[in-house]
Amino acid sequence: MGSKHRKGMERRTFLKTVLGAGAAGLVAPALLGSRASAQTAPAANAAARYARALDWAGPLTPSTRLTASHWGAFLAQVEDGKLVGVKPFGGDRAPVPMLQALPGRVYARSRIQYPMVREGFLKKGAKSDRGMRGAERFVRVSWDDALDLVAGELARVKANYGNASIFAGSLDWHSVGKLHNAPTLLRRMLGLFGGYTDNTGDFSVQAAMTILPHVTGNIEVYDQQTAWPTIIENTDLIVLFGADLMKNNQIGWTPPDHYAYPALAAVKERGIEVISIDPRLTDTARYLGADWVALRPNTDVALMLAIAHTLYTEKLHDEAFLKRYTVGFDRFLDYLLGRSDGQPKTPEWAAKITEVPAATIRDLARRMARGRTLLMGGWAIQRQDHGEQAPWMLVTLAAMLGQIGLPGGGFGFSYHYASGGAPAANAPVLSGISAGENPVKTAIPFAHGVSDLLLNPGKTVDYNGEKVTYPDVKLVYWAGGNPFSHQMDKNRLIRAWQRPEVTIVHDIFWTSSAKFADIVLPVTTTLERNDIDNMSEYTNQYILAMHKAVDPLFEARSDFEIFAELSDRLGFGEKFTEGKDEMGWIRSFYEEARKQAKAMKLAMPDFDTFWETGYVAFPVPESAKRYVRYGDFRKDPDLNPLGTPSGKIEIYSRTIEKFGYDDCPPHPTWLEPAEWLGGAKAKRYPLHLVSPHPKYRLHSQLDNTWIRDWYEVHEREPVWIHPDDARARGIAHGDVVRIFNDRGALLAGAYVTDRVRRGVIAVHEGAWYDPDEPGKPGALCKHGNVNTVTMDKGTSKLAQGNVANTVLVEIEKHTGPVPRVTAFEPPAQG
Amino acid sequence: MKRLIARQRLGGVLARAALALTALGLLASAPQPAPDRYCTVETTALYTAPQAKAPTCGRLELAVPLRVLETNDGWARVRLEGWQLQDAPTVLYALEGVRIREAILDACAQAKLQVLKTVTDEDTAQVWNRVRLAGFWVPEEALSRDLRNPWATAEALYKKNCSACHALHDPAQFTANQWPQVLKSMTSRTPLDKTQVAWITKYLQYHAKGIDPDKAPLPCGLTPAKPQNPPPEPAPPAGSGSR
Repeated sequence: MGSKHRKGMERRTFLKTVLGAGAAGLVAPALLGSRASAQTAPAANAAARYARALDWAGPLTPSTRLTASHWGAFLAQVEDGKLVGVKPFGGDRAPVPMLQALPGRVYARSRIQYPMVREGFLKKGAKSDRGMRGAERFVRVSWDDALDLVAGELARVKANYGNASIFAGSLDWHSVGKLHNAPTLLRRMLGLFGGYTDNTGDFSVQAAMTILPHVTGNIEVYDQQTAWPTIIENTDLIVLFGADLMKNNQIGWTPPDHYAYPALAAVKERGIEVISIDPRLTDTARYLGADWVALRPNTDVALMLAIAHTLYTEKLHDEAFLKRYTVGFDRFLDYLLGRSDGQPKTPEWAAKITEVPAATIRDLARRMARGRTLLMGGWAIQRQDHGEQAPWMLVTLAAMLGQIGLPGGGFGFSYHYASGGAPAANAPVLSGISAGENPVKTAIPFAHGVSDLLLNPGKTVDYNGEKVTYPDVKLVYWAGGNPFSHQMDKNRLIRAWQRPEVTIVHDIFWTSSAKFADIVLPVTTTLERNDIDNMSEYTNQYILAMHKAVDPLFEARSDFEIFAELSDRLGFGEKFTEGKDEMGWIRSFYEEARKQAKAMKLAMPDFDTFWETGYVAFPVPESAKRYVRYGDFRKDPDLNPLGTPSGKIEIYSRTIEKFGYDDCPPHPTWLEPAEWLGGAKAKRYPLHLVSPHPKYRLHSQLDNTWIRDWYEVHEREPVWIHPDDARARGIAHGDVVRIFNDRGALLAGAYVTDRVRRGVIAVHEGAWYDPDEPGKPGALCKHGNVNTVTMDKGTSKLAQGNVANTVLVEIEKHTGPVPRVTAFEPPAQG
Repeated sequence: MKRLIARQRLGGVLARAALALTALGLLASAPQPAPDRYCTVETTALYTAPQAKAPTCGRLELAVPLRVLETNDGWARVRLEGWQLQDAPTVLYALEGVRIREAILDACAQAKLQVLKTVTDEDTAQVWNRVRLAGFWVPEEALSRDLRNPWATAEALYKKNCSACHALHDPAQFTANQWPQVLKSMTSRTPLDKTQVAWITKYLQYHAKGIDPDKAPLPCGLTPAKPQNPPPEPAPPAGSGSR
């Protein structure tokens, strides 16, 4: 349903809300330029920006140390050896409020204080009752004993079953820093140990990054996007497909500079039209006054097909572009017009599937064809059953519009992530500790495969034209991640997790993954160690010193220290450390960057000066602001071919045709998801559940801080529910509710709002798991972890991505006493 | 025999070196390159005469196999063969239907192309020409018989720099066409410079998915791209396996 929100927007913008007090980022018009001033403003502003970077309380001292996080860089204020506050780094264009949760996080009650071993495992080792994982009490051991135990288990499993039976977990969000990268350090150690079974792919973007190399020859999701200043100058219409830029740009894999926020302010200032296609009215749609098209979840492909049908039948598509820059449009057209399957993909056809009126669909097509249109694809549209199809169809739609490679036109898949579209600085890049080679070549597509792997040794699965056979995993080692939060279908994971002989987890906190481990090693937060990083992922504008602000709490050690000690015990300590300690590595990363800088004729101070100053800034060249994705391809497709077999955009892929997958046809296709509102299962479970990324967490990180008071309802994760759906079930705003299906159940707090369409509920992922019966498959999550009800299925044989957003549930008011939330309490210890 | 000589340059001693290598080739078990076969180890322009001021007609990329027809005071006159899309004579590729780029040709080089055969690629229906280009000069220092050193460096740089943020990708995880684009997007997160990226690109392309080592023999002292069998492990568990 299209509904105008443009006119009624309050002037008190979301941006200001997000920025909170002391925001320094609202300089958008000057920074990015309107059409009139864009030519003159940027150079002058560069100097101003550096001046602003210096705008903090005097030089760094022992009581003000610079460091960084996934939420931004900041000054840590220390009093009497204790962290008392944080102040955003001046180079952050729009500091986010989550930064303020960091001091509390360091001192959280959920910190793991000492090395701990599950009691049964301590007594019986591999012969312990594995069903007690997650339920049994823990026993404190000394570091020496803990390290001996871990090294002994690694050696035992290797000797008995071989290296492939060691699974190194996944590459989760850990903490920023080029040295203290826990998943990479784990792999570095296990690689030297003879190898391990690894994962391949990417949990967030598996479907998109597997299909798009067949379509545009590129992964797209982490690519440099057409630069924001170019968009602001040229774009008439932005169409968001499941993309929430305001919310998701808050965080970054490397410390973010939040460039997207002044850019979005400029989009608003310039009055660029925005359409948001989403079951939710997102923060972005609200802030930009977008037209909201509230389709049924998982029906994006049907909607896009009908838009394509309208473009074609009304001759609004660009024949010349399709002919010169794409292949296979004719084959796709047979499908679009119904010649190959008897069903023309008309707006009327799509209206039944999407519940978007046919007239609205036609209007969308006409508006897209009217001026310069940029399609921004979020990643939610590919975390669903057959999630390969939506990104493919989005590229096809952009190809039909014919604006790919024109300033401000075409498509992009990274505008909601780490400020994709921010112009890149002319700067050296820090290397970092690396994992190196893994002698074991087995890598599983893990985006849905962890439970599948543990439950089915010897099973062969299809993956992007290959076959992968699961090894028999006996030891799981996880560092820097929380699989019990992110894996789909938790009850299946609990059963799977009971299979390996031993599970080892490094963590800062008693997360559910730590509670389900046999051996738990306590690690430091970023604030308790030194490191170094670039800021930010797409701009590389700064190199930041990350100073240790406080001493390690309790007996926590850094992952580097732990793996170095283990490597020593396993006989390759020197190879692991290369003879360098923490500061030795940091210095070497800096010196390497300094060498590059010299070749690039950029000045960088010596290391000691840098470490004292805290940062080095680099200039952003004017050309970076004019970057147009696929501009070179459009200019000369012969000289700049794409990475596809044809060198062009493949709307029909012979490669995929040859794979012969029944669930991934050779051109974009509407395929019914396993669960959706138009399917048979909706009779029993009539609500579609989406689980978007949280606004005030990074996945599960920060849920154990006071910041959860901002969003929790009755101490539970909120569930967005439409007033009509709530009323029909006797649910009132603030009620504790039970969400359930055949896979599991969770409690949540009802947040009744018309920001989510009828028939859809939304629970943000990442609330800490809190079972009423710890360790037991099927336990009720008292606190609201959404993955108790999600489905553990691959998107298709092509990508095997997760289908987090393909879930049907029912919801009811919780009756009886409300159980106490214990998610953040340490387990019983002895 | 030194297996890892840094770089064996062409020189005035071409004939002698060729003789010596032929002799070594007879003795060594591994097949040795023919005496006139070289590869580029630097990018270079295609010169119309053996002098730096001569007009140029295009550029050669790294790791391009070619034959040296004659030498002249630090310059080599070369001949190379490759593949082109029929309607895109600007670009010369190493293999039919696969975009491992070897040269970019200006009009004056395109005019000298000799078409050896024409095939239609069954997957893309695109028409490819096997072509020969002869007669251009390049500086001898851009050539070497032995790519093992830069190749090993590229491999090491790839393994070090591309396993810091994510698991190292098996080179066979992407096709030779996809690798340049994948590297283009990802290497902005690494300290690798342009030349290093160019070498890594070539290394990965020759080890990519679908590259048949029999049809794409690596030039200049390199072993075939495959096999990439995993090294033997102690006591592999029942039911375990690799791709």
